Amino acid sequence: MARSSTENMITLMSSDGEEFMVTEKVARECTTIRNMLEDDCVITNIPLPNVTSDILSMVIEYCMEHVAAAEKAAAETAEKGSSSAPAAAKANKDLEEWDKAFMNVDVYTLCDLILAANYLNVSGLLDLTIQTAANLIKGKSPEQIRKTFHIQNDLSLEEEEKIRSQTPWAFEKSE
Amino acid sequence: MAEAGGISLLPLDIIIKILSHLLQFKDVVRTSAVARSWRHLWTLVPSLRLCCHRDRLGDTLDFSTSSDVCSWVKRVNRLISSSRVPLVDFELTLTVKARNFGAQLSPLLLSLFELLLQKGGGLETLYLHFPSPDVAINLPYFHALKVLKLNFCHVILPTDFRGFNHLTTLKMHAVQISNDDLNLLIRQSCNLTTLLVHGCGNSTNPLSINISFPLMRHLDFIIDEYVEKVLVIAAPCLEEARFSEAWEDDYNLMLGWLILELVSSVPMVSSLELSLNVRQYFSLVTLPTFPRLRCLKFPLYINIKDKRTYDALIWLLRSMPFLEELHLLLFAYSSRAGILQRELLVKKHDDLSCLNQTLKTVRICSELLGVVMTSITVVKFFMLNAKVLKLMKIEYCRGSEIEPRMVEELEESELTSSDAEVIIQGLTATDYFFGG
Repeated sequence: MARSSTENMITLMSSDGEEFMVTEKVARECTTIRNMLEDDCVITNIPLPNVTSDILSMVIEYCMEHVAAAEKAAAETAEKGSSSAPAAAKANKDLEEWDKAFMNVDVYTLCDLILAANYLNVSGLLDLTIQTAANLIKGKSPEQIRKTFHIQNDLSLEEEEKIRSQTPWAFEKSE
Repeated sequence: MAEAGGISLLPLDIIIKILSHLLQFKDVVRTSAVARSWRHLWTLVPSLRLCCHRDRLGDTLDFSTSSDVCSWVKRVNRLISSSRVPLVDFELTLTVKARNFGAQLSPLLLSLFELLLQKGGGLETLYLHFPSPDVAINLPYFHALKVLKLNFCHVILPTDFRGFNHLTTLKMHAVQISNDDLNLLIRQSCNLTTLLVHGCGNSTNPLSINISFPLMRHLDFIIDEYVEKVLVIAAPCLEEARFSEAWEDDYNLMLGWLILELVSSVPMVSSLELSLNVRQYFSLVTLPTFPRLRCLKFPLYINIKDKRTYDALIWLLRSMPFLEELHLLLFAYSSRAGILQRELLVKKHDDLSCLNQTLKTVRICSELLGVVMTSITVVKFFMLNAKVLKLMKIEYCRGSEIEPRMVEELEESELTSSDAEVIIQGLTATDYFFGG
């Protein structure tokens, strides 16, 4: 789809002062920004003091990919009059693959992305990052969870033993 | 030494959200031993998903006696009590072989649901897997319920059932429920978008269901011998419908009739999946036109001695003038006569709108493509007649000696659409049957 040249551009400024020019449509993927735009429609420059430039560029990358996918689907629907279910399913699968590759990051970046997605209120990205974090916990022992997320163990051996003994079934090895 | 940042920076509500995404409660509870600040996080998680064999919740039980089952349910009760937040998600899977829990279990379940109502007036997702025909679960009124999945339960509705006004998804598999209650449940849930019903009738309680939903988008209905009648009365938003019959040793002709009636009652769908041996019925039924149907998936049972296979295919295509994608599962039987007759079957058709104008994708799965030559005539039929074909994909199960000859024959077949791509893919048996 050709993008109309009159489409509004918005400048997002990260906490470290870097500026990102994005289309209004991409910016609107962030509910927080959408609300700002709806409150004050002439705003074109939005400072985001909670988001660093490297994380912001990733959030923008995510939003652009998802806007493009939605536009493509809409264009196909317009062309054919209605979308065909298998084609839509294929597009969804492609986007899922993209998401999966996008989530190939270290836990620090992952947690920063969760914070940014939460602050900017990008529901798709928030779900994706939270699910990814949950997958990192799934099936792991407390020790493995600490290692994965770089959490310091501040429990004494006796304390940990006591906790384990209260719900032993939760610490059994899975069959 | 832990570095600053990472998960320690996340606010509590986000960590709880992460834990809520864990599908096994065991995983949630295990985080209590990670660090001091994680000690009680699990009691703040609003999702409780429990399976008796996975989450024993105490000393080992083997669930062979009703007292084991009762103690487990009591432990579940205690766990619900120890949760410090209202529950949003609740899942209970009891997979036991023992029967006749009856009198002992009923009051326990009752108190469990009472507790759930206290704790989870705001319950949004409820999943119950409870194969205990002698214990009827009196489905409580969770006013915020959005998703209800029932498996193998015996369910009765309260006499003053008011309907789940927020329910969008209802899936029932082998649920023992009276026909009146089932209809009431379906009728009163006016915001339903997805309905799946499978195996919910029995010989003393055959089902007769009228489906009428303003918002329904997906309907999945599996018809078995205990369904007397099911019709979609009004569902203007219905897009995807999937109707099939429960597999049985003897082919039950009645089930096919019910499916055909059901199909005829949803002419506005855009995607339809059927399991039906059309050959048995086509000459006896008039199908409506499906003006929005883009995608059709169905099995074609070929018996080459029986010319009706082709007539049935044409009959189906004729009622779907705007079909774009066709997924065919071919079932063919080896037959010598087939080799003699097959050329007769590949003939030109110029009067079918979908073949002339819209059909772009044909995907054929055939277990015996390389064995039964008649399967090839179906492929050739579409190569010859689908005039705007873009993609023809054939997947077959590898392992026949005559396979190379078949592939060669297909590659040399006449292709009417000039820009069509033909992909012939031989799969190993494992990939073919279990999805490669």
